[in-house]
Amino acid sequence: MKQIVLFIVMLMLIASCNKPEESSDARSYQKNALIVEFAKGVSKKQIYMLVKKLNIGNIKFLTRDSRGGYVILVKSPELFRLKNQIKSESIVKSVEFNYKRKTLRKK
Amino acid sequence: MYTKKFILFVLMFGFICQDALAAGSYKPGEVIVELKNGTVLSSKFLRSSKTIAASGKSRYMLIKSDESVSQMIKELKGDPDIAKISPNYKREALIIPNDHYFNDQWGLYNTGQTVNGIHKTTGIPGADIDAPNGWDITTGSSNVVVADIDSGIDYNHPDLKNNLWKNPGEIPNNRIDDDGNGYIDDVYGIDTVNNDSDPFDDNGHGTFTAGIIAAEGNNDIGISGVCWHCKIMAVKALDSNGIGYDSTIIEAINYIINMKKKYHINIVAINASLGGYGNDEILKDVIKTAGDAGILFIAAAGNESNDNDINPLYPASYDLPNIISVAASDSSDTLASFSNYGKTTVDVMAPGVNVLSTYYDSSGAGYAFADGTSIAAPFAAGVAALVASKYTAESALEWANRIDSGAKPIAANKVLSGRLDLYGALTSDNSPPVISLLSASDRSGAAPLTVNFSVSASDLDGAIKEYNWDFDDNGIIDKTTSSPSVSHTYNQAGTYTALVRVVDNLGARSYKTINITVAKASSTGSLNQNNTGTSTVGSGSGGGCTIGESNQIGISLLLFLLISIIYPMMKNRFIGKS
Repeated sequence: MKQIVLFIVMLMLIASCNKPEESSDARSYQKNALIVEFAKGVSKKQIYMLVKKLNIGNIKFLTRDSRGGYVILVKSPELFRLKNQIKSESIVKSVEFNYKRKTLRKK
Repeated sequence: MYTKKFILFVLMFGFICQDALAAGSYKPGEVIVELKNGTVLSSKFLRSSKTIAASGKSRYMLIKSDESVSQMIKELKGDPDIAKISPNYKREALIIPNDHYFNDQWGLYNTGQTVNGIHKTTGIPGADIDAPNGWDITTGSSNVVVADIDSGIDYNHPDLKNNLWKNPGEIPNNRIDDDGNGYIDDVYGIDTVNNDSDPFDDNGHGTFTAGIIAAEGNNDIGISGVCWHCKIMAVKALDSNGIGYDSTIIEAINYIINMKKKYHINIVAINASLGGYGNDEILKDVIKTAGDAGILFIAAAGNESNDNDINPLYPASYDLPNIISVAASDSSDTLASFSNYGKTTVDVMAPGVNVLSTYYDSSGAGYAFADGTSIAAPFAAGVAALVASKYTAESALEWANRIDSGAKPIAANKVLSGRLDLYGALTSDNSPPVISLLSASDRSGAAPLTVNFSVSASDLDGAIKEYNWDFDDNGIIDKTTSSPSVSHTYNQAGTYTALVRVVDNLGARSYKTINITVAKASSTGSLNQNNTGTSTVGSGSGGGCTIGESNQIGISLLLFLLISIIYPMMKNRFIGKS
């Protein structure tokens, strides 16, 4: 009897981790990357200074000019520490995970 | 027999329309009459008449005169031998392209044909986007460009190669950034996945969506795109598995905006047959910037049978005026069983079941059938391109309103407007509501701050259907009301851009925003709400990458503990009873 109950519990655990409505990759994101949007008027120089200050190794500019504020991709293994640090900077407008998107062709 | 039916149809049509004779729609000085059984024409027009058809005892005659058509009809009406009279209306052939597989393209022209695609389907005539009627008005301009953010495009495909956009500022393969846009040899577009300028398709999906938008029409091969002559810019942001990230998509959109603003490429719309459930405000900002540049953003609504009003999928569900969210319909004009929907967040539905289009294969001239909202979105992108081809002086938002207003209302409608309709979009002259004022009782204060919003709006050629409110600027509509007033309480400090979207009876929309600043409350303890939902992930899940997973595991552990406690109790009870 105990084994049956344990088996049911295991099944529930598995089922709860694989809910059909939210597929396994729903709201998934790149595990080592963040997207950062800077406030309007923030220069590339200011961004590089912030990169140096926070010791961020790898960045890529996703927008080529500051219209609407620069957007960069930050690569770092320390995702959560970095997210909170960047978020607290005054020149930063918002920080987001690099969410995954996929084709919507019905398989 | 068929001739008789045709003439009867012409005559009946004529009677319906004879009170509103439109100049130029019929031949001057000519009418067609049907004589009563066994009679002969006895009026003064006898000499200038000739029999054009006869069936049984019925006879149909063409009468010519120097008089006006209305005068002829007036005189002939008094003739007791005449059963019916009609002007000799002008008829033009519906434009049916000569593309070989056109009969399989039920989404463009549904005659009730059976399509043997990935599953055999038989449609209902008219359950289509009414393309031939639309093509009578325009088949598109080669000056209009649609950017397709996807897995790339097979730019050598014979049905696509003539409609691929080619960068006029770039000399192919000279390894020089000729136009100085930051990309070397970006002839057809760019590839933000592999960081180069070769957007060749390595998945097939992008070639498929491109074909629906603008496969060359009437070229005697393959299929016809919605827009016969428009150009497609290939922007690869999804990899060979059809996966991309916001970073690749943001870079793609930025390239498109730059090409429009700095290099004056007439990009009118972006097709984005992609999505995911992560809510990224930065992606939203970039799409808004595209809207500011006059670019529509056509997005697929998703394939999980979800209500996007409740469970939004992005980017389709961002409440931006330049986004047109598209669900999938089948050949019977019903929502596809897999398709997401939403009365406020999904604009239209479009063909997305058993649809034929171009596909990449090694032979270089592939075609395939597919299902999905990925398939539906490019129909809307093609319609947007044709609307932009005709209404060149209008803004992107005016094009969006034409598309929404022109959609055909359908039974059991689960989207904002109805089923996409090309002819409707090209002929709609519905004006969107005019918002004169959006006011708030308090535009600043300490949390919790209750704000009463009120909007003044009118609709000149219809009625206002509803008001959609987004209080938190969190990307989705929070409330829909029939009243122009609503209240909302902000519990967290911050600056909010509240938005109202006013929708008229035909689905045309207008927007207005107002900023609300909320200061921190004097007491603490009640301000832990997070609007984006992104920072609620436990810090220990750095190796994993799914928000919500930690919550699910937590619930499971809780269940496990509960059962661990309950089980021994139950066990004791059973033992006691036995």
